[in-house]
Amino acid sequence: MSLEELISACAESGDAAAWEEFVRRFHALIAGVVVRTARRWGRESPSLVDDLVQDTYLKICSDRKRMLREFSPFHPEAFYGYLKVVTANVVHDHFRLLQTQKRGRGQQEVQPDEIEHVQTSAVTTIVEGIHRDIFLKEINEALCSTSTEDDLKRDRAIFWLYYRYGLTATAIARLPSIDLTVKGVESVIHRLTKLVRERLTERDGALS
Amino acid sequence: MSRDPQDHLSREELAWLAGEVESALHSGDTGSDRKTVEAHAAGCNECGSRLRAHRSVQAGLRSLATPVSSKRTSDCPAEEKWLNLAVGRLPAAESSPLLEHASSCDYCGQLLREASEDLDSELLVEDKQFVATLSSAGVEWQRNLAQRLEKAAGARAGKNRGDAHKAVGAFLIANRMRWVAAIAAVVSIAVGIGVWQRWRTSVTATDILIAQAYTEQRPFVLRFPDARYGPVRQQRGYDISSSYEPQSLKDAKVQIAKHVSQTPKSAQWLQAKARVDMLEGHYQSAIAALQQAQAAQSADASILVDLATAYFELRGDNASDNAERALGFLDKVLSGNPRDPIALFNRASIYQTLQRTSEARADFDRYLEIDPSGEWALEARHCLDQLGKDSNHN
Repeated sequence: MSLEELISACAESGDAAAWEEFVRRFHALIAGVVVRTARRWGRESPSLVDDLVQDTYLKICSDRKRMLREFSPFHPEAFYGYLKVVTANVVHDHFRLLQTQKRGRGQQEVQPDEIEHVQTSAVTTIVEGIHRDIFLKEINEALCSTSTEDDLKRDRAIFWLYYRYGLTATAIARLPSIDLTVKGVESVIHRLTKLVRERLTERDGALS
Repeated sequence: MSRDPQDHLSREELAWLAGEVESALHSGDTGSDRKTVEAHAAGCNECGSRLRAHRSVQAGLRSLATPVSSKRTSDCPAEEKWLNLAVGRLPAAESSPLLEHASSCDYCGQLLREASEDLDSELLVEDKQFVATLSSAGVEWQRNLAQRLEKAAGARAGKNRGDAHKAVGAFLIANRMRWVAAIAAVVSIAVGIGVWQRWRTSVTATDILIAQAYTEQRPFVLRFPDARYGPVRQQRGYDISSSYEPQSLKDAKVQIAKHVSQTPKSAQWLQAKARVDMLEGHYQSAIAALQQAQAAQSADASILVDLATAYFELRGDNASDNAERALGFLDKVLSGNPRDPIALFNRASIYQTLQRTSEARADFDRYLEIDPSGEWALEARHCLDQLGKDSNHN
C-alpha cells in the first residue's frame, strides 16, 4: 500500500487495520524524535517515551483532515517533516505543561533532578563575553567585505550556522532557501573561512 | 624534496596547514608536499608567525560554537518555526528572514541547531537499539493503540469504512502470505484509486478546501474548525468573491452545489455550504443552512461553533442579542467539552469585542493552556496583551 493510500485510509475510514499499519510504518521515526526531544528535557525513560509516542498518534488522529492536507503526492517526503514537527511539539508541550504545573504549585526552586529544558550554556565570564563580541564583529566585517548582497546574506547565514551554532553542512543544506547541495554548503564554508582568516591575519599583521 | 628558504608559503599553503575544514575538503589542491611545507614553516620566522596567526584565528572560529547563555527577545519568532525550518516545511520567502535572524541570535541559533539534531532522520546506533526495545515497538502494543485510534476517529469516519477496510486488509494479508501478494497489489491499487477518487469529491475534501480559503482570506476573527492560521485580511462585510476568489473556494462551491442538490438534508454538506456563505458575508443564509444541519444532527458541536460565528458576524440591528446568542452556543459546546480549543478561542474573541475583559482574559488563558504554541497561540497572546493595555487605559 502506498503512503498516499494509507493516509487516505486512516483519514477517511479510521479503521483499526489502517491505523495498525500506520503505527507500524512510522514507529521508528516518531519514537526517534520523542527520544531525542525528551532528552533535551532530561527525561527519556522507556515508559515515558511510550506514553509520548501514543500521545503523538492520538494527536495526529484527532486532526485527520490536517493529515490529508499535509500529504502531497508530488512531495511525499514533506509528510515525514509534518510527522516530525507534530511529534516534537507533543513532547515540548508535555514538559512545558509539567513545568507550568510545578510552578503553579509554588515550586519555584529548580532542583537538579527537576524537569527543565536542558541548557547547555557554559558561559563564560564577562571578559570572555566581550572578547567574543569583538571577535564576532570583526568576522562580520570581514564577511561583509565580499560577495553580492543577495549571496552575502545566504552565505553569511551558512557561515554563522556552521561556526557559531555547530550545524553540520548536511543540516544546513536541508534548510529551505539555502538552495545548495551539501558540497555547495561545504564550498561556501571553505571560501568564507579562508577569507575571514586572511582578513583577520592581515589586520593583525598591520597592527603589530 | 627540499625547498628554497626564500620561497615563502603561499596563502593557499598557509590555509592548508592552518585549516581543518578546508584541508579535509580540499587536501592536495595546493600541489605541495605537506611535510616540505611544514618543514619550511618550522624553519622560517616569517612563515611560522603567519601560520600561528592563521591557526589562532582558526581556533577562535572553532571556539565560537561553545554554547553561550542567551535570552529570548521580542524579535525572536515562535519556537515552533525552528522545527518547521529544520525539516524544510517553510517556503523560501519565509525561511530567508528566519535564517538571517538565527544567524545572529544566540537564542534562536541554538534552537535551530537543536531542532536540526532532534528531527534528523538518522538515529544513532544506541538510539536505534533503545527504540527497538520499547513496548511501543511491539506488535501487541501497536494493535491496542490502533484500536484506540479507531475509536478516537469517531462516527463521521466510520461511515466510509467499507472499501478502505478492504484495501488495508488486502495489504496486511499480502504481508503475511507472499503468494497472494500480486493479486492483493492489483486489488489494493484499484481500490486505492477508487478511495482517492471518492475522497476528492467527499465532504472531508470540501471542508479542507473551505479551510484553505478561510486561511487565505480570513474575513473575520472567529475561527473555523480545522482551518490553519491566517491573519485577518478583510474588513467585515467585504465579499471575498467580489474581488479575488481563491481557487479552493471555487472548487468547494462546485462540490457543494452538486451534493446539496443531491442530498439536501445532509448535515455535513449543509454545514459546508454555511461556511462558504460566511466566507462570502451571507450570514443569514449561513444561519438557515446551519439550523437545517442542526435539525439533522443536533449533537454535533462543530455546528454550534459555526452557528455562534454566523450569529456574531450577522450583528445588524440586534447585534447585542445576536452576540448573546452566539455566546450561548459556545457555552453549550464548552459545557460538553471545556477543552474545545476553537470554542474557547471564539468565545474569548467575542468577549473581547464586547469589552468583557476579565471573561476574555480567562478564556484566552485557558486556551493557551491547551494550545501553548503556534500561530493561533501567538494571536491569543497578542489579544491578552491588548486586553492588558485596554484595562490599563480604563
